[in-house]
Amino acid sequence: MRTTDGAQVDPILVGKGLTKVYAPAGSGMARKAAVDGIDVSLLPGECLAIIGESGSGKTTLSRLLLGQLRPDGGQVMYQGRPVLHGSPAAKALARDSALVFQNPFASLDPRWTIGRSVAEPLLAARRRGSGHLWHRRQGGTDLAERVAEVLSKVQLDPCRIMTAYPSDLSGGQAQRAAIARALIVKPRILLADEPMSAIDVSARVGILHTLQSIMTQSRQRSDLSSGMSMIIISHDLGVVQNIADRVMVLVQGKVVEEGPVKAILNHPRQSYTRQLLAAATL
Amino acid sequence: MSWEHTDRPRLGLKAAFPGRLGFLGRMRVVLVSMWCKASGRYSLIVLAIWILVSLVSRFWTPVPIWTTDGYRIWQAPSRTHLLGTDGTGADILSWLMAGSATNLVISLLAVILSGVLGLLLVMAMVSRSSGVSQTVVVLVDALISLPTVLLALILAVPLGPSIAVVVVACGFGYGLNLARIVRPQALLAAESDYVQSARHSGVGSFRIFCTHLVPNIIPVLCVQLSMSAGTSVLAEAGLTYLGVGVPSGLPSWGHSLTTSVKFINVFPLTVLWPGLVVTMVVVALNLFGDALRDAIDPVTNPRFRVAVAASGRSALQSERQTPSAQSDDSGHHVENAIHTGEGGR
Amino acid sequence: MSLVIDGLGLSIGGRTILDRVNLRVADGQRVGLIGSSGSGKSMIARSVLGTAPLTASLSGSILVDGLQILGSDDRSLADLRGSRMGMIFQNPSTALNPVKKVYSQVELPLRRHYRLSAQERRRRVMEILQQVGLDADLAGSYPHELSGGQQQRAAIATALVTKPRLILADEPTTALDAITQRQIVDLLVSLVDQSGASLLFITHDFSVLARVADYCYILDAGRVVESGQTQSILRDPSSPQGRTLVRAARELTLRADGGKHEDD
Repeated sequence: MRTTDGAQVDPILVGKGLTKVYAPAGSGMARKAAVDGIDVSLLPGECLAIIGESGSGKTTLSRLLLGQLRPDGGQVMYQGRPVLHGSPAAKALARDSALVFQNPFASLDPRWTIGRSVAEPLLAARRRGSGHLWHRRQGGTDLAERVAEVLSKVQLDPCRIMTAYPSDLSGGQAQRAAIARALIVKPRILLADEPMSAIDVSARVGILHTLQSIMTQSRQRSDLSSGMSMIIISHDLGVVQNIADRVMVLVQGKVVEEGPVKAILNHPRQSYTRQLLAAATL
Repeated sequence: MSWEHTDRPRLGLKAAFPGRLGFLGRMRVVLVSMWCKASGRYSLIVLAIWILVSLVSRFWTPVPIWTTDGYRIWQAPSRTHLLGTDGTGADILSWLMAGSATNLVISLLAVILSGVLGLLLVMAMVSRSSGVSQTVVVLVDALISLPTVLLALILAVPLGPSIAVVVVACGFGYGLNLARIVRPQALLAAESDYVQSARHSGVGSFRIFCTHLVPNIIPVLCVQLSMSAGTSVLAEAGLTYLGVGVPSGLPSWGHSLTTSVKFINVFPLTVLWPGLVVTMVVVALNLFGDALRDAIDPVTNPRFRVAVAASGRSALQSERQTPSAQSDDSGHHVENAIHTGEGGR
Repeated sequence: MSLVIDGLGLSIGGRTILDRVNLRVADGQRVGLIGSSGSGKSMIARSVLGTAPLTASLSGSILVDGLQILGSDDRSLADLRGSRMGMIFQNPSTALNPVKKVYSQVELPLRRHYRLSAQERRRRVMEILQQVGLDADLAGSYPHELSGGQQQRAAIATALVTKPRLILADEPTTALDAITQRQIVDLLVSLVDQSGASLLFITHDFSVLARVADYCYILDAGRVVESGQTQSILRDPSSPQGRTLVRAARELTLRADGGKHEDD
């Protein structure tokens, strides 16, 4: 962590011995664990990268961490409380987390304007939490203004983008809009699942910068314990080198290497990590 | 209650939800888009005439339909009887006009019934509880094998020949069909990332169905429902011929066909007229579905997107021209915003 | 086999997709074509294959070994496509027929274009499968039973089984993992070099292109905005589009020295 100052910070999200087994289609085959006893922790304000090839269990792991899937073994703790189905901690985790998906055009409703899509989580939150409703309304910003605010935060022109439909946008713009939708509820944890894989290389850089600036802003604005944490999933070490604080390499549901990004880049211990590094060089 | 005031230009809710073009605005764009295509124009004209004639026939027909003249049966078209007369000496044109009202009611009710039934079934089919969804899928597959005609015959036992028989038989059969055809589309949307994202934000299942799933199956819905309307016109004719449809006292196109079809070898014109009307209307309904699908879907209709963008721009401009006018009641503004945001769905 | 594209223009419904594109692939050369999405890269490949949309109006000339492609009839094009030109697509899972086993898909071009005995076909299919690094027992499996990398290997085998002299590869690695990407690219380069065929490699990623092509063209909005030796463009791109692409590639990759990065 960049700014720990030696002080002990409690992790915001902890997974202990997480296991998820999918029953294979043919019942004769052995059940294969997609995620196999993984320990993971996420500090406030930290960016954790989960790296692995397709089928390595990185997406399953992330969904376990957000409480969207129920683990077959192990436990997730959010702010020190166990996340069980329907528990207050699970609800808090769902409220405080947001998702960005791989393909922006699949993650935005093609028949909704961008403005409506971006506002959706906020409207849902206002409808749901009557306790929070009052507090948030007194903040004085109305819905459209909040939408415009997050859209400009991800470097989109609100006037033009709000009224556009996803099919009017380029891949990069659509992914920014998806990020804006994730940001509008001011999440504590942002999960980005391969946010750059489905778009152009030149647009990827833009998305990367956007995510970086969001992380920097959240670090500047608030003290460490309330900053936004990010989990970024990728199959490419090169993509996450500048944004991640910590890297976790998954192979077939198991962690093969974990550590600060610089240590991994400079002294990879596993041959698989070395392969990853080789694949990410120009 | 004190509200924090800001000097920033306020963006109205219309700007955020320009999908709220307003119902009338939407209708106008859709109608204009349909009018611009030949098939859409044809279907709009035919359907407008149908509705108009149905209304007019309640008050006026060229010859009162119960006026018969035993000396003037099977007459060729003439000035007094524009389309001729049938076997009882009644004016064919007047009967067709009066029949259009019956058929309009039958088609409308059948479409409403099948739409409601179909959507309810789809809702159950995409339900997250696999027990419910699988049961309904099997149920629909089983019930769909029941022929519409058989159902009508069974219904006619307690009900006797009536409009209800046609409406229920058609609505039921087409509703099942609709559910089956729409299901893959609905599943596709239900499993999409945007629904997953909405669910993660805590949007309820029913709201997701209404706001995400229905708009995304509307293209299929348009085509299917208008085809159902067309088929119900045909079904009315068939069932009336079998004697379980519209009762004999009530004018309908099927009735006009039935009374003269036995004499098709001798007086072909008397069968031609109702046949022509039925064909024109069914073709118009099928084309209407296609045209409506293209016009109502923002993905395929650029005109729709342009209108939405324009409404958003004008909302922005009007907000900017009066920046401080509403700052006093910004609280109401928010409340209205949220209310319209929900109510407009 | 050489490919010479001269002043190729393509428009659909009055909208210009390609605008006077000149491009040359000499015999045995590996050439790259790079551009962001919507720049018209794939349209060039489709024009060469003669599979441009029916509504498109084409102008200019495309010569494959001196043979004019534009305006040729479908039959002679079909012969050319399968036997002397090979095409590799972006998404192997849609490029392969899901209801046919790998073996019969790889065999199909041989059946279509050559009169060979069953044993000879079998020998050739097995040979190419081994060359692309697929186990012989995978020949009997269906595409969905393979991983993405294996699927792309099977697609490459299908394209190369007739030993084509010109290979068009349209973003063959975009849908794959980083490591698999590298493997497929290296495989493709070695196979092309072995056979001495020419290669036109289409991509949006300079880090992939740099390993494949010695010479490359940068396409933007249907125009070639820059062309030259790949290494010199990487070092000093002259067009703004080229600069964007090179900067993106540099930013998203580690340096060749094993990723020793100084902190920013």
